[in-house]
Amino acid sequence: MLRMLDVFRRDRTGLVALCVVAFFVLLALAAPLIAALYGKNPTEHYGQNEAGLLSPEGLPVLPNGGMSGDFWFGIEPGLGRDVFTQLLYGIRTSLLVATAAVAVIAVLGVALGVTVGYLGGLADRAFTFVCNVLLAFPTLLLFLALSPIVQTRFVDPGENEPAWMQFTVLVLVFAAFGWVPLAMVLRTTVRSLREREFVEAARAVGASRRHIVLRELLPNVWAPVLVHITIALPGIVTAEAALSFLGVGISEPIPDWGRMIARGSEVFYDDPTYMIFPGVTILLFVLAFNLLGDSVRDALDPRTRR
Amino acid sequence: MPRISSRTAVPLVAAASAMLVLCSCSAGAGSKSDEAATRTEADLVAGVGSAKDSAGPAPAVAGARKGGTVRVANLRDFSHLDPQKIYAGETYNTSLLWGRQLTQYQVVDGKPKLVGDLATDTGKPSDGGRTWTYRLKDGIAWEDGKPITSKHIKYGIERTFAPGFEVGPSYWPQWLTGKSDLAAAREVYGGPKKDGDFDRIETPDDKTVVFRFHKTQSDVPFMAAQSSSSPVRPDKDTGAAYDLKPFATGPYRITVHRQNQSLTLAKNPHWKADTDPIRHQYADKFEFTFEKKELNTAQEILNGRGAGADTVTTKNEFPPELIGEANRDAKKKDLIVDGRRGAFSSHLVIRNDRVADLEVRKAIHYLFPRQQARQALGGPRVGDIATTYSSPAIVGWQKYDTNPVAPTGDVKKAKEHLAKAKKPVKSLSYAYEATAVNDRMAQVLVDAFAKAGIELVTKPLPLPAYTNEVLRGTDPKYDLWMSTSSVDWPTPATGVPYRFDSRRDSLDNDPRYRNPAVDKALDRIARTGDATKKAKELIALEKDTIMKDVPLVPFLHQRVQQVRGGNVGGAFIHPIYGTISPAWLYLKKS
Repeated sequence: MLRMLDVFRRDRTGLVALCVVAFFVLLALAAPLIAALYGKNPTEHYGQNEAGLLSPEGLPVLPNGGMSGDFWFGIEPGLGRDVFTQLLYGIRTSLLVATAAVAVIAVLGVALGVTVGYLGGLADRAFTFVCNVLLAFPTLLLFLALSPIVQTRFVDPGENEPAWMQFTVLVLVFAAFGWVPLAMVLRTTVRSLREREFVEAARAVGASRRHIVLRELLPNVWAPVLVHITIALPGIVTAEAALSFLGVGISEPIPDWGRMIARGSEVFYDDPTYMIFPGVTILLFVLAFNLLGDSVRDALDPRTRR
Repeated sequence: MPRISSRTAVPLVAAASAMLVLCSCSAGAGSKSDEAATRTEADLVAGVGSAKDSAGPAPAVAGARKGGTVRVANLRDFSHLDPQKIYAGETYNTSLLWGRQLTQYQVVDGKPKLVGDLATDTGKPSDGGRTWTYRLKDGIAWEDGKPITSKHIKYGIERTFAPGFEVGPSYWPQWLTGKSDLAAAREVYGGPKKDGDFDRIETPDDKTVVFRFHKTQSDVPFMAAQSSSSPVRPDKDTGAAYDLKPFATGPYRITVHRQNQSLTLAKNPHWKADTDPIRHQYADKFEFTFEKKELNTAQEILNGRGAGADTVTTKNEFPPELIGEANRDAKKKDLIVDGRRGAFSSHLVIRNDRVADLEVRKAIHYLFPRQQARQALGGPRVGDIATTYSSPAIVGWQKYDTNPVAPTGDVKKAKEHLAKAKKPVKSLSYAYEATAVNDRMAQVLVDAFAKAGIELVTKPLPLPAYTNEVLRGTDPKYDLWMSTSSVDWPTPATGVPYRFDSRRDSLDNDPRYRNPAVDKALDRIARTGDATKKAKELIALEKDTIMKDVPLVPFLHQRVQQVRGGNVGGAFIHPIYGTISPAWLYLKKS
């Protein structure tokens, strides 16, 4: 443990990445506070309600996407919402979906991977089959088809689709397919672990299966789990943005990076600035997470240490 | 906390800020507005012309030259070319190049007038409007030189009864049999192949066509201008193949039509300009090409690249992405052709049986933020803010404003009406087709309704569900939705009597509007024999009775933008059909 922290501390890229990630998490947590200090909120249509911000065509009047002292990152073409607070609250959307999905993935993946790895036999064959089926599933298409059905089937015509339902559906879809790679890795790890002397020893002194799985195997798999989730998380962030880009992710008026990028591509000829902010933000965010994931793996895996 | 190494952090931040500097070069839109520049049309259109107006040739287009090949580039090929199957303004418009009808709209300086085309005038009614007689001109011929006779007109109209022709309008079958729908009309007469001659259309000689209707019909001259009223020669009727290559009567004939690839037109040597008060024959050829991306086509035309200077689009609309670029360059802006999209109007439909309280409907009228909603859709280019149900592009239109309201909405007035409502309104539901732009417009409405304490529940539906449940469903569970509609010809006769008659089904009367006085008035007006008089009465009914009940909220009289090459002259948006009309085009240099 200490050795790992020591390795991590010497990895400069990893530290910077960690700081960037921590910064994003901090921004997400403090979003309402920052918005209050800044004096704007992400849902008000400033450009439509205040004169002189948007042209009749809906484009920002000021150059560079309407950037000014009042609107630091400019205003959204069309509705005239504040880009800065949209981005700020967009972090919350991305992080919430990604962390919730990763949490479910970790629980499912560990439970199934370790159990099946230890049991072997019939359970193992059934598991491999299910994993293969799930890996072959066209996740994106499934979600594209599923999202309108959820809207019309489970929501009363007189009610808005509640935000929790949108989030839950997204998280469940990501989790339903995301646990497979993790569980497969753990299954292999556990299969080799269970032949090791310490497990044999535990068995020899008459430890129960439960004891062996919980006390002997689990403590030895947390490293691959940690590596897996730090790498899976940015993947989910981009997947969520991609769904919103296609128009089936989190819906208006909840701020969302993918939707901002989609809008940016629509107005790119007239207002390229609008594309920059969500584009650069998502790039930084995902890059930081990926670099962090790399560093975590380097620190945990003695073979890749440089 | 470990120290952050500056060596790694700096390049990242630098790269990010460099990107910002590089890309943040977009100019602001400025506060200018182009609103004034684009509003040129006359409001009242399509008066009925005299026999003198109906004689050829068409008034020359100022500065027009002969010769050259005009190119038309559209993303999609025409879905139908068979004259009796065409039922879209843009194809009506283009088919003028090769097809002629009994009557047609002569357009001079953007002002349309209904005149006789193959007929010597717009038709003579007798027997209280139940009999209409048309006399054909001399010298009208098919592309092989044979004369067009009254039998060909009769045969063309008889085809509209036949199976396969339900894609076209069904007014002729309904009127000639006195039945209210096509299926019932077909039981009386099933088309020329099945039932031979139809005795309700008489051809006493080669030059005379007589229509005998069961009831008074006032709008026959306008129906006679529809593509359905084109002649078809029985020996040239190739059935399904006629939909690809109809036999020409107009100034051009179709030489080659490769479906979804190209359509080539050459001059029709047997068309005589003296007989045609509408069309021109300036270009030698028309070359249509299909399937090129709309954005690429528009960019080629704007920049005059390749054949761009000789090209127009008649179906593609100008891509909104390029509007900014075009507006910044006067030369490019000049190439954009802007006009009214025929009589197309958008309305916020209120389901009247769900929102039965007039005070609530009035509150919706005052709350609806027309200007903000239009801004979310793209601004003034998408349409003019409407105060009337009917479009200014129809006969008899009057400007009126039953409940005047600022285009941004009036929350105070809305609250006053809400206070008078029998039951307080907490929430309303708004259904729309799920697209990004509609999502944004829905947010505009949510914002506006919230100001009066109403939660607007938004229901984005995929297009098929929206069409089936809301537009075509008998019982959509929503209070509000947006609808765009037009009329079949520029009188209110195919608009007002359909939408506001409580005895009609929800396909016609989608607001589920119910006012017995209006039903009675519609029955009375239906017996009017004169189209113009009838139009005026319908508009008066709309203004004085219907709109006072606020069955829906007028939103926009739509506009359309298309693009023409720098070398193409005579391009304007046809005031009836709402697209660039090729029959007026010429090349400035060839």
